Amino acid sequence: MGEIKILRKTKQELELELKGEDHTFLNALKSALLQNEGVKIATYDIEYPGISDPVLYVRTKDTDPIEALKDASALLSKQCDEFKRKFKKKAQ
Amino acid sequence: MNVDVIELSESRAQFVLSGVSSAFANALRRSMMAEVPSLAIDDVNIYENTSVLYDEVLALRLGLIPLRTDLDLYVLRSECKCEDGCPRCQVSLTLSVEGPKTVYSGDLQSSDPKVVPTETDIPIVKLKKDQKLVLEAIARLGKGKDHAKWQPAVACGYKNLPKIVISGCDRCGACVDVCPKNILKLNETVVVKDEIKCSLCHLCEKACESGAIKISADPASFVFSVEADGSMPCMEMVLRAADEIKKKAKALTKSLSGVT
Amino acid sequence: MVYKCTGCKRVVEINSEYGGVRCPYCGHRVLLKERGTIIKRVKAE
Repeated sequence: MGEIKILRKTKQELELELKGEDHTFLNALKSALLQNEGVKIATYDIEYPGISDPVLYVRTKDTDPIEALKDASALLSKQCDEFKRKFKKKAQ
Repeated sequence: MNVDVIELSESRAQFVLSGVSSAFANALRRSMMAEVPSLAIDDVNIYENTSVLYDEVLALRLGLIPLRTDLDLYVLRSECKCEDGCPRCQVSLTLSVEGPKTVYSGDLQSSDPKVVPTETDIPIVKLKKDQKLVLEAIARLGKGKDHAKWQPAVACGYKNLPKIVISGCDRCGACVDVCPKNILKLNETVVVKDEIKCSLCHLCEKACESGAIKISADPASFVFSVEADGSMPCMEMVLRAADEIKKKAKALTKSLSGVT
Repeated sequence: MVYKCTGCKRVVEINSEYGGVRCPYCGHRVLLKERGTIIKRVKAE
């Protein structure tokens, strides 16, 4: 988990493989990326379901795609924390 | 983001999660089903089996028995420092019975008193006179994505929060009769008793000739229904599911930090 | 290899000189192979 392989990287584009991940994380990550105004395209592909690792593709307007990805993943973990906090509070 | 807990018990939970993307809701659902680890019997050492079931069938039946899991005490085998099994990553349960008797999950003797079958009356096999069963089962942590026996959530799903709007009702009562969930009631006009129970089947909409009833679903609110197999309390399972997503996000951030 | 005769329930050895399979005590022709003494490890899946 967490192991990545950068397949292509330019100023505005990034293509990377996330080892051992699937729709669970990738779809949420993609959606978090698209919430960023600076991200033009964010999508992923699992070439052979159940066998291949997903490949994420990000294209930004002018920001660094790595930064956009870091922001998206920070947003996701923030959302998880928020959910946990609110669920715990309401469960009492 | 807003969370409203409607029902919460050991084995069941229902809550409304609103103000999030459907992707996040789905990630949470998938995480509960496939990412939260739980204990299940993985290997079975069979010493003696004169029952009518084959060893493999018996092992499968044992594997599907839900075991009470304390995730703070055990680690996944892949994350354990040991080479082939230690008390941190596996538990041994023994079963030694002689017929005539029906063998139940409660007959399993665990080496850790905390790790026991959640139900003691799951039948494993029926033994006749002189039939014998002696075995040792090794339980390990695993994830639902590898095998359904490691799934802590037996049922986990969500639907969008139903919204029922009634205006200009002529009190014909057609929608009340047709609703399969019985959530509509005829007073001055038709009133909605329990909006959340609506299954969004739109039958009332079709029955209403004047078009007074409108059913819609809030795309940003999700009604979650979660059922646990008893291996851990429902609340812990939901929180662990969020933890698992966070763990993935953190791992990605960490591996991105080295890239320029 | 040890077998068990289903007719007289006695443990028998198979005689390879005799062409067929037959219990030397009762002549019964159905012999069962007994379970070995090794511990069998099976995957629960």
